[in-house]
Amino acid sequence: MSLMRRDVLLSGIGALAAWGGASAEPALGGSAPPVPAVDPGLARFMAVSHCLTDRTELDTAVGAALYAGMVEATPERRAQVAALYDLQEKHRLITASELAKAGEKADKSLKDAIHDIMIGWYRGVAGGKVVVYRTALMFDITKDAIYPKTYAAGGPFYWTTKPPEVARPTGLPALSPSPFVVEPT
Amino acid sequence: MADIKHIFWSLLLGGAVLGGLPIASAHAEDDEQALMARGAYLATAGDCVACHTRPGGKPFAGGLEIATPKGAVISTNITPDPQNGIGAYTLDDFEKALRRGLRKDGAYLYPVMPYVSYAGLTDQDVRALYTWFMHGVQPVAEKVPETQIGFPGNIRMSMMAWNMLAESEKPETGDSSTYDKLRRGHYLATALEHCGTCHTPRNFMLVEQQDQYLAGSQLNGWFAPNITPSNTGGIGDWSEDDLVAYLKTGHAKGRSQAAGPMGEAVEHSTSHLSDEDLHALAAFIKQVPAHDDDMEHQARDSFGTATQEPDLRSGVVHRVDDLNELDGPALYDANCAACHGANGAGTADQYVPSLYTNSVVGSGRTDNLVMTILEGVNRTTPSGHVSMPSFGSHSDVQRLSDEEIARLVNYLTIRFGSGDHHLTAEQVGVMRQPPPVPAVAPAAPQGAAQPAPPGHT
Amino acid sequence: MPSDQNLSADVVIVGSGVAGSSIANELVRAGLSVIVLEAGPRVDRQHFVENFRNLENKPSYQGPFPSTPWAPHPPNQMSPNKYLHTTGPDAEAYQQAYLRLMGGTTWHWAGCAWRYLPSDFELKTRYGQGRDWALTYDDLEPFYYQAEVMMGVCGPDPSVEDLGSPRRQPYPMEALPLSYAGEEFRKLITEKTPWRIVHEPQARNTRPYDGRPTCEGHNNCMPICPIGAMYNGSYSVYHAEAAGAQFIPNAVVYRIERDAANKKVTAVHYYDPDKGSHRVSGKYFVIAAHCIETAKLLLLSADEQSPDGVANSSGHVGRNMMDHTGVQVTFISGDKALWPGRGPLETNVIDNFRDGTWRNERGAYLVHMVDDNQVDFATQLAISKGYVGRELEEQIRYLASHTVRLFSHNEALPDPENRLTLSKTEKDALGIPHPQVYYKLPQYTVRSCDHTRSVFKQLIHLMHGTDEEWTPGYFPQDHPSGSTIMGVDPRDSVVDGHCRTHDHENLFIASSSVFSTVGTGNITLTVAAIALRVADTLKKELLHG
Repeated sequence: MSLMRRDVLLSGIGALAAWGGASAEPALGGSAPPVPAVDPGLARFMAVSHCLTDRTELDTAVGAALYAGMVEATPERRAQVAALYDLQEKHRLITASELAKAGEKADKSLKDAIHDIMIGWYRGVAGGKVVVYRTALMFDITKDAIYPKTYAAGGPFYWTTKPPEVARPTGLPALSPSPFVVEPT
Repeated sequence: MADIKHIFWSLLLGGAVLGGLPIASAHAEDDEQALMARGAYLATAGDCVACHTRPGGKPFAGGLEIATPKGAVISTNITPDPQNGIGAYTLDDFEKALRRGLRKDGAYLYPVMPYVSYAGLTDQDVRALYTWFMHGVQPVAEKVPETQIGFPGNIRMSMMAWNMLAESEKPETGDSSTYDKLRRGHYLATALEHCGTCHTPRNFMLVEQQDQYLAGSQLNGWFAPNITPSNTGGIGDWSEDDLVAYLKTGHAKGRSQAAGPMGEAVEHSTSHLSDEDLHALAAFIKQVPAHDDDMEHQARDSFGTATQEPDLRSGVVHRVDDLNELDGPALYDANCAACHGANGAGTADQYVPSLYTNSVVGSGRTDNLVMTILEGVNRTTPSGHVSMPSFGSHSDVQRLSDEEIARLVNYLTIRFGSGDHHLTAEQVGVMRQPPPVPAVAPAAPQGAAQPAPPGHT
Repeated sequence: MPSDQNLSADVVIVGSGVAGSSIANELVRAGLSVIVLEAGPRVDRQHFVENFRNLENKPSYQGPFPSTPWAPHPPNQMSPNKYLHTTGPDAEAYQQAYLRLMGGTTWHWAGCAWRYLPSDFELKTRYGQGRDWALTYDDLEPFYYQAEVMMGVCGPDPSVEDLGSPRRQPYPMEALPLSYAGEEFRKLITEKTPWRIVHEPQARNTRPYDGRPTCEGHNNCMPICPIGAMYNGSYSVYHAEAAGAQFIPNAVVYRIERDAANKKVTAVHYYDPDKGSHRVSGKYFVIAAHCIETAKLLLLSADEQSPDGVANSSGHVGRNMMDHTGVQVTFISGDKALWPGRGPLETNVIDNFRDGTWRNERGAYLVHMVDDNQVDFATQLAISKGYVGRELEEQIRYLASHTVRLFSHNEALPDPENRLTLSKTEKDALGIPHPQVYYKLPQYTVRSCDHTRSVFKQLIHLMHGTDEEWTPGYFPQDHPSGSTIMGVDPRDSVVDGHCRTHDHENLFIASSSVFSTVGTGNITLTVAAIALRVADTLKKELLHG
């Protein structure tokens, strides 16, 4: 099993190197943050991200931008991501739950880093700024039912059709709960 | 002249929709009702209403201004009102006007009237049209302003010269409703729908080059594309059903959609033809001689796929007065992606079409893409009302600059079409305000200086 | 910048929103000369669409519109606020959002286009509460229709679904079909309660209309419709400009000049962004600058002739501030997946609490089940609960499909103590004082909100809801009104039934600021109808003496 995780990591690094050489799609209204072709911090971030999302495929260009935004806003995230990576490697952790639990247990401050990584991939936000919008994973996992605002592609009156049913989830949270603060409008 | 939308031979926006007209069963009997129904159908196929109705005006009462090289020709009242319309015309008078371009008083019509095409009508169909115009059209007692064209020369002489150069269709014979599929298709394409009027290139005298039939021609900003069966330059990859769908609804999925003058032709004419006639028309078009095209090296609808890249963003929100021009990807994202999709796939139901495998985007000529962005799409057929807003100078939705449109079009053709066509802002500027129509038309002999007669189309 | 020499017109209008621009369009098409002074800049849609997508706090509908220093508007609805300073026991309930830019606040509205009920104009006579307007529903009916045609309003067939406001003409467009979520909610209400769901009339295209496309359900009416399927004031600006009206952006009017007798307005003065001052003269003047800015301008124009401000002999300028202060709750439905957020934002309404004899003691209200995409909310909620990876994704799907948000628009009453004044300490870049508002929710509204809470609790119970989160206190609905209140008596009102100021015969006000009561629906259609009626009055006076 740990071999599988390592494969993912290696493929992630390979993709990163490839990305470092090629240019990404021009950023909308700005440019992609400059990222060195080989950044061990970024490679660790991708490895930890694969684990914390339970996903084998994550976009490395997005990862690079998220990591850059996160570290810029909160410099200690670099060390925290490295700590999570070490935990993941040392204990050969496979699932997101395993890593998250181990992280919070090892160091309470790692919970904030995990939150940031989740917010980054699922909301597309790093350091309080939008890195991606429609590409955020929260829209990927709901795309059979709903469109990101301003990107509806169903045509007029698509909304009268029946969306998919969703079973009540059985999975448990891995981290301790945090206060939920809705930003005021 | 701001209202004048098209070059003189184009199909024009009419105020009336002929939806629900009875389709002629087209039997040969001289029964008045059958003849009326047949006449109504033929008038739709000939798209008379397009030119002979002004926007908001009564059907066939004329009054539409049509741009010509020498000024506006105002279409005439062809309702059966005896004073203002053609109520006093005999069948013989009507036939002369329709097939030979001769007015009741012997004057020549301006060739805005496609009589070189209508010349192909059978005697029986001329009579059906006459009967319907006399009895099926509401007389409208409205006088249309006379055309005031200051031709420097003798209109009659120049028209005679032009008529000698222009090759008229030969009148068909017999009962057109009994023709076999290809003959019927030929009849519809030539004598009625006058496809060649727009789609066939013209020589310097503006005479259609019959050896280049349907090989594509400029149309006042738009380009009436090559619709010959060439696999590279034309629509050789279209099936008969594709063509029928296009003519019936204005949209053939994954191929093309009608806007501008063709949108109007579909709206007013082809969408009202019977399926049998549409198939005949399509079958005929599919077998005309194929012509390749210097600017189209691969089928126009064969380019591009759905592409989706992460939407990496600056996360910066700009102050409301920051109207800096956007780059190509941002222009696409801000103006197009909401409907055409971030990946260019259009809506699930293709109400909004995909931008890949789309003739307008794939064409080596950017004319129709630019004109669609400038003017939008507004097409009503029995299958529904399709609308894309204009992004031109009068848009309420978003007004794009020449530079923005050039950037956007180059981005679109690179991403979904046949590559970078290096469109410039200057070129867009020219298309935004079409220049006076190229002065060719009936050339006036030098020296002749007689006052022009009132125009009559 | 236009030359000062020739700034003069038959009618000078302050404000380019739905009111000012539609008056300009009507007048210029009747052959009159019109100048419109807009404090904010020219703007366009594409930049707002990109701003929205770049905005982290997506629900913040002021967010994509950062204002200019010379025409500031509230940056958000937070209190304290950097522009609109609210005080009093219910300060947070009056934190209104609005925009100062060409086209006005309808750049971000939900398109709800209610006509008021006939009773809304006679609250005092019928229920002994508040005030009567100095006009009736019948006076306004033709202008309601004119406004509906101008905006492109879709709505139900009155013979099938009577919304209580008599119509002489059908809606210009057919009603918008409810979303799946709306339809399921409608079934629940119909089967399990004595109430009903109606199709909300909306200034939104259900077919191509006026060169703009059919709504495609981008679910982003607020803050920005990405395709122009919803009306906004910029269309009327464009139409008026095409007909010859002159719009001057970045023109911050700060003074209303009158003649020696103080009977007629002779000019208005504005600052450009560099504080260069310009004078614009005219025969008639219309202030159409939003409820808050209109009152601010009248107060700002105080001088020796009018020490309490222009048009303020009654002392009522800035008083009687009202809104549709609401109640809001979010919960997780225990029933089947609804997936709110497919289609436009607001499509369905419970209208049973809009009128009744009980209005003699508590305010009327509308109930919306907001059809708002909950994916981002669900994601933040699930992350805060501690989920990661696969379990997080399950949670997001479940919460996004089962979150239900209800909110209400509850009626306020005019209370002179609820008052807008000029800040003595806070000023903008041009040195113009910020507005401040004292607000105490009328008991009439408090009782209405209490009633709403009981109705919401019943609905939560019916939907087997859990995790209910009540928005604390009361929240503003951005329907400020009353600051230049209408009435027949010049001693206790600012304008008459034609929106002419009692004090100055050639000064009109076209804004929700003239509302005598706040009514029982979103305010915009009534603002537009009143504005078109002002245009009609001006045409009659200017063209026919």
